[in-house]
Amino acid sequence: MRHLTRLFTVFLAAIVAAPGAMAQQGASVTGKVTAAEGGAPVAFASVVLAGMGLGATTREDGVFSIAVPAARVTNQRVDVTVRAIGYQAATQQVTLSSGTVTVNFTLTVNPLRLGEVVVTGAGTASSIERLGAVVSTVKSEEIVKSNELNTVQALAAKAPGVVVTSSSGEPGASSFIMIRGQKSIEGTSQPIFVVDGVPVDNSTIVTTEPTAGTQAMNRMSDLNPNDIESVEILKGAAAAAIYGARAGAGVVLITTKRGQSGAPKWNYRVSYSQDEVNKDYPLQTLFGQGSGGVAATCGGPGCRLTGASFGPRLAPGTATHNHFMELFETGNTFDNSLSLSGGTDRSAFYLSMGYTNQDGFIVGPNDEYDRFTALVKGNLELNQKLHIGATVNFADTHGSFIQKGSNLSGLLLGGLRTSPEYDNRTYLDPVTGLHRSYRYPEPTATSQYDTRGYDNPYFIIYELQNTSDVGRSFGNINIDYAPMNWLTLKYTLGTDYSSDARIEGLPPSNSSQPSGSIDRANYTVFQVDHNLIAQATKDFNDWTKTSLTVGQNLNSRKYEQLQVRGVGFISPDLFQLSNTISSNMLPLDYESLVHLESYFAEGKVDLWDQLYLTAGARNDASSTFGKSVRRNWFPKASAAWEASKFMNIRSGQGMLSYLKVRAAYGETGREPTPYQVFSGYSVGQFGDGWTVGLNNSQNGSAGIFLAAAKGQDALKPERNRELEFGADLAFFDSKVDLGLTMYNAKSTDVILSLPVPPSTGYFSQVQNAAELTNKGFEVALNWRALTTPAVAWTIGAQYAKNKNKVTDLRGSDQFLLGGTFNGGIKEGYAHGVFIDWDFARCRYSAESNVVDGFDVNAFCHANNAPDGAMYIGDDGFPIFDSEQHVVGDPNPNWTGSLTSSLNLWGKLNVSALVDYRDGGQIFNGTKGALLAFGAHKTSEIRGEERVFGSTWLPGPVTGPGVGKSVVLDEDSWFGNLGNWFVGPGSQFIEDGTFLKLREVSVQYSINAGWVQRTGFSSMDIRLAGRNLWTKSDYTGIDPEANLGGATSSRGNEYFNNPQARSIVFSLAFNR
Amino acid sequence: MSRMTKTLVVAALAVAANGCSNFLSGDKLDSDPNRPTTAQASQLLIASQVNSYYILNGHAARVLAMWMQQFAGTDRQYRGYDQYSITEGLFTEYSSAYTGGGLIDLRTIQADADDAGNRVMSGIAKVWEALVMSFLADMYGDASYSEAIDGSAHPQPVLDQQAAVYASLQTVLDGAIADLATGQGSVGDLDLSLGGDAVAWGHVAKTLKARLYLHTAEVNPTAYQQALAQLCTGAALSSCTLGIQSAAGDLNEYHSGASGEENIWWQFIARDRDSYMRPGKFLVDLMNTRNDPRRPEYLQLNGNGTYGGAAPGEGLNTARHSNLGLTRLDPAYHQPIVTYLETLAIIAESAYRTNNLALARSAVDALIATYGGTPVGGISGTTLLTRILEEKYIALFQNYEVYNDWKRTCYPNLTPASQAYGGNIPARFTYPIAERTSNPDNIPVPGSQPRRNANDPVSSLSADGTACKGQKP
Repeated sequence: MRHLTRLFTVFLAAIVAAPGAMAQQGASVTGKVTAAEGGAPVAFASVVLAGMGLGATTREDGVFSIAVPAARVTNQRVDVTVRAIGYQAATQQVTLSSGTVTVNFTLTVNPLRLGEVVVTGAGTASSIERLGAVVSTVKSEEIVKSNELNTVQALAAKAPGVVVTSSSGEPGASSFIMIRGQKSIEGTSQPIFVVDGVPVDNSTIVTTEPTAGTQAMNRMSDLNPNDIESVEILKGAAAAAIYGARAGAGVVLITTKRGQSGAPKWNYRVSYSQDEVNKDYPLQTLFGQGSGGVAATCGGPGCRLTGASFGPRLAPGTATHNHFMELFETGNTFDNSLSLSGGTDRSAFYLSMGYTNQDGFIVGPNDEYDRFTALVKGNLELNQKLHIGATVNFADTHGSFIQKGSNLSGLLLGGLRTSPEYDNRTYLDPVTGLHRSYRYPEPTATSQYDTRGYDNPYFIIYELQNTSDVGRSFGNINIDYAPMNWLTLKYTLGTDYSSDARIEGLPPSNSSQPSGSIDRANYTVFQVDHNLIAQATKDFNDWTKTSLTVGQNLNSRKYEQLQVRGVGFISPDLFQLSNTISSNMLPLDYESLVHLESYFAEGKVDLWDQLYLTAGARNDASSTFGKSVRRNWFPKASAAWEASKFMNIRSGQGMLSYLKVRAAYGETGREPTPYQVFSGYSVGQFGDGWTVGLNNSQNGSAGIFLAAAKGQDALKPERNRELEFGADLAFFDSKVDLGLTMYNAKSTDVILSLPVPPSTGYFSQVQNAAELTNKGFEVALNWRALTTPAVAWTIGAQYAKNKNKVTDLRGSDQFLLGGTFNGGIKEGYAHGVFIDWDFARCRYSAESNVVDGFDVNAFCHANNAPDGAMYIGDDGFPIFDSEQHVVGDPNPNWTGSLTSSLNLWGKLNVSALVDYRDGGQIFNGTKGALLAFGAHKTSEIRGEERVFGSTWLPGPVTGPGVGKSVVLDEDSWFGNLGNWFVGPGSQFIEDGTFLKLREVSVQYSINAGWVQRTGFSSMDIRLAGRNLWTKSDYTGIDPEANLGGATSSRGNEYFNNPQARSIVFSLAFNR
Repeated sequence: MSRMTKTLVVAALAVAANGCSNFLSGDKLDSDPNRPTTAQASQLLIASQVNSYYILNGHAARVLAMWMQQFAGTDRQYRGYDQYSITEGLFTEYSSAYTGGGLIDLRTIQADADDAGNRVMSGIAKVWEALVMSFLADMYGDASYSEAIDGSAHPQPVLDQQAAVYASLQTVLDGAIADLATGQGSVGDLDLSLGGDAVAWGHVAKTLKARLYLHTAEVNPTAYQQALAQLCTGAALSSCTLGIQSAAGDLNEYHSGASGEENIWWQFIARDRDSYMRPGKFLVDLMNTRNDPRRPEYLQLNGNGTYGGAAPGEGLNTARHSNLGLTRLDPAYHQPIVTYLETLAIIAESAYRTNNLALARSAVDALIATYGGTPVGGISGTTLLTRILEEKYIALFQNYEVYNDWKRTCYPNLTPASQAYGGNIPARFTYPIAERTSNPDNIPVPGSQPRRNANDPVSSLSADGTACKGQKP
């Protein structure tokens, strides 16, 4: 990394020293593009000289410059056309003569982006008004304004129906993205990412397990957000069907910036941000370590103490510690990005480099993220018919993480459980120099390889080593050939390669593996994609225009995991496999290869310039499909009608300024994961869930056993059928625009490891068994409240509601998802509902409701108790129901966001984004655990009297003990049914509604003389905040957190590392 | 990289030219490179032993040791389990008894071994089958057996009655004994416990047969006679040459200090869940009263320098609570499954029940002699019976058979740890969710499952004649 940093510095120096422009003999067409409303410069606008194949893009300050070679300057008149996302195109005529020709543009906004062309996947593109299915676009400036380092996180709250969740505020933590609800059970619900026409990897690979271990990066974080020109999100199946069996969860198409001919321009942006944990955690500070009111005392070195804080009330004046906040400090992030672009009349290049360095908010230097990126893109016009191009993206990423979650070596697990009076900060014993913790405060000199009960959080921070070092390269070569004016051939060959070297090392005396353990792993992901299309167009007459695209796609994906776990360190602090006892090494290697062979076709008919019809189909064959079902069709069809044209509203004026209605149907799929079609034997470990386990081989003899899953040779892809209707409208002279979409998606053949009775010898067999539905409604509204040349104020609102339901599980009862404690699947309920134990309640819907031999429902009927009433026994306490029930739902009722952007005098921009989620429950497992230890604030009421149903767990109750006042103390409640280890999980389900001030920024652009005299054309100064403020009733760490990270189970909190809020200061220099 | 790219380009051209393809087949596409598709009987035998360890000495054995108050749950979930806060998710031994490493693999071993003429291996696999299946009959009662592991013919196997399972297992063990007696074939080190000693395995099979007869004693008047007949040919202890003859013939688990080979109890108590359970107050008090010489083996001194046990559900207090003794809290400790001590205890009790008091006394004296205790002398009646049962309760420390004995005799007359479960000690395991939800026609919901197994009617009186505290009608 260090030599790359040096390279970057050299590069920077070279650019700064470079001469200002290239050859100047001919003409130079220059000018500035600004918005008609508010006067802000329009960056990244494309400016072309018609018929000459010359063009440029505007800089950050809106200025462009196109060099015309002397030989082509003949005092002719040429059209200069400017196009920019969100603005109406504008054309002016100039006379080309030697020297500088100046032409300025003032662009009018184009609220519904009519006439603009967007990419629609697999090499196809369409103008917006022709789209029958909604495609959400996120512009470069929105990405930059988000100040996110992770491209996926930058999409948060940018498009209705697209939900993005960060797994933690730690550097390099993964973000999860989901479009229009969960459509799969075992597969990912994340869309595929396609960069410049090539599918790329966005996997999140955890080294050990999602509920423990550390954060892992999602691979799209390797793309520098500053390199993105635009993002198109294909949300529904109709839009995404062109990607067939890979598009079941939607598609995110990313287009990176490209160079345009013209004088070189460059841009340098530097940001500095301060990141801190976004809220405190409620811990108990009144009672000390011990149990039954008796203090835990240490008889001498080697004593082991209870983990509980049920000791006596601390004497007044006893020093206590905030075991949460003391683990955090202010983190720092530096983000540098430099880009250079330019070209001649027949070639163009774009070159960018980025360097990011982040030291996270956990104390100490071991939570950090370093990323170096480079992007080189070149285009060459060989002749009028043949264009070639190539792109190379490169990323060198390093992350260092802190252990988290359900893990004896997790930061907050031991940290928050620590009794308030114990000082964790001196984590090494002054006498022996060995690891001390509140449960093992005085280590003996020979305790190097003994457990500490829970690790001291500072030991976790300073002594563990968890790193990820990634080399990534992805890119493509592309050829466009237009042999005839009605025919174009496009070929793209893309690759994506990444290699991720991991270390997860826990030195001796850690509590998870006291003898010390190290995982060394290398994950290699390699994808090659070949995409060939032919496009033909034919206009039959003035009002019938058609086009046809046919294509072939071949895709090969390879994954290799070389991982070895070594246990038992020889030397105490060397994180090498060779430093472990060799007989204790456990290999965890895996590889897979998937080939996909596809053909697709898409036909379009435009009628009367107002009715646009599209139909297409893709045929996919994948090596992951069963042999008998190798090929599968994914059809689509859509219609869009510009009704306002029919109504002769063509000007965008009037009360109703525009109306388009659209309807679309499409089918997409999801491939099975590799090798599910085969049966086989396993060489795994045995365990009982409570212990690490026993190897399959023992005493030097090899052992293998029948795999738990039976193969399924007729496995098909999952299929998502979706129908969507919508309308795009503009009102009040286009001052208000509105997009409405409703969709109804049905996912069938959803793959499920369908449990078979274990008494048949297998646990499961995959089947295309389940069905889910997602029905939703999306609204995007923009109001340009002020539109004077000096002031432009835009207010935007988004709303999305998705209702998910599991409609068929082929008679099976329920399943738990991976990466969760209790997130599951149950017929008739939404995906990911919490299935957990509960107190005995009246359940009139249940066939039988017998708890502990007692018929609860019979009692409820006899006493006319309401459904859901909690049964209170003689002693005044509720009783435990030993059957699992659905006790919560992590899916939100609806999500929405509000944006406001104010542009003043072309120089000042003030904007804000507020993000809201209504509902969506969270399982607060952290609280459920901390109560068991008397460490949670709530347990401070120990010894006091409460009444169930009114002053404790309020709600309807029934039973003989209703109204009885009971003492809640360690034995009667907190150490018993009142915590999650003993009692039901249902009592820790909380509402996750939140309102977040996601982004706020103030930017000022300066192009005054003093700036220009320094050699820059302009400078932008920006002060921004990210996640500055959160309003939520959720009592846990953060309503957005998810323990499993980027897993399809949502809403689990269990000692997750927290979220961050940041203040960002950035400077951009443009030339 | 280049090779793959080249392959793809060539494949693309080939596909474009031919229209048909072999792009979808080839190495790593037509087969799973990560899993073997075949297995040898020898490899299955190793894994089956490990799987059996987890069934017989894993989570269930720990919870049963708590219910029997040899241990107590001192932290988190185990405090709840100790006080019978249990759910149908708690015991999954039912599932692992059939699946990989369980019955399905044990039957493959038997079939392959029979084909190869290796009757010793077949016999050993049959004994393991009897062990894991009898565990299911003991704990769950009715269990799938006649229709098990034949998914194509019986996708939802029915439950066989517990008595039928026990009867079938006696036949399986007879078959094992016949196989082992031939001495044909060999197993060697693949038998992690007894090094392939066919004679020793024959003795284990006999003791196991006797144990299973005992399990039916509450409903089968001749059970004790049948049990004794498995072990002794005459009236004197010297004639008891059929079952396990000495500690050297014990069926113990194999464990070592190597990672992934450690004793499961050590994994739980010393490494992974250090605060969850400690020796129980009832057992420790009993051993203190007896001044039992096995205390240093079973127990460590507590923080106060004495031997102390944890009461059910009591939070961990290291000053008062002894930990498991270092002999047994050792990663390489070979946890016993079926032993010489159990053999002696079965002989003693069966002899007592069939009125051969002399044999009963000599057998229990032989047991007592193994730890250097004082012979019982001329005691008889309830005193002798309870002494035999008490010796067995202590000698079979940590072994699930203690629970089977208690269900049958209600001795020791333990006081239930909580009022949950109707103030009784739970009398059986609930079928696991995985089986109930995928085999719903045959497995009732928990509320409709029997409270007790067929072999275990309520013992209103303990073996000492007092009212049984943990088994109320």
